[in-house]
Amino acid sequence: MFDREGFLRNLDDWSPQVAERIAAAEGIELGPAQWEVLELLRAYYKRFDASPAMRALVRYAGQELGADKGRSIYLLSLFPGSPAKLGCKIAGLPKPDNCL
Amino acid sequence: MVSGTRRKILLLCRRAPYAGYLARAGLDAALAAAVFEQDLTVLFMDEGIWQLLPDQHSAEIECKSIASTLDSMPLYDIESFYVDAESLRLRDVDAKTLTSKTILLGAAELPGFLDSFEQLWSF
Repeated sequence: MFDREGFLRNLDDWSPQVAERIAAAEGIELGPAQWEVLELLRAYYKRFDASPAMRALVRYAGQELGADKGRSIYLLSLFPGSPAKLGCKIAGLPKPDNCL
Repeated sequence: MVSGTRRKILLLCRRAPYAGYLARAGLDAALAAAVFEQDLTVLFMDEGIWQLLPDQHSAEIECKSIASTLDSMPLYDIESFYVDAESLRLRDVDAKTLTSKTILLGAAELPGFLDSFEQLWSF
């Protein structure tokens, strides 16, 4: 079901329960703020046919959720380390390209 | 032109959207450059202008949508696309039908425009 890096192989296998499992394995507790970003990532993927790199995620969050949430520091507080990569993993999306 | 006044990179998109991998490879290069905060400008010419048409329905051939990728470019600070007007004219494509915000370049402007960049990435 998962690839070597822990990303879902098949996008259709995702569900909120699967998200909870992936998050638990990453040591992340999913509250409303995390869920808001996961929904945002899934909306991004649907609209643009790709997972966002950090730069685009920050911009999109600002655009869709408000300027106070379109900041790296905010996203880092929800998904420490690499928000785009970790967020996509939990949201059941492919690993973003150009991920550092 | 003095090199100090030149813009950095021009990405030249000259391939039809799904006729091989080069159109996709060009856009992937643009996004990679954007992640590394490189100053990049995009110009569509020749068969590349087809990338800018709407209603691509690429899922039917199991390809990711070029149009959707172009839509995401403003989020990477690639705000507008230049288009060679002559390429549109030869293919009878009206600039008004193109999906993204575009800036038309006439034949007379093209050589100077190309010369204003330090690097040309052609796909």
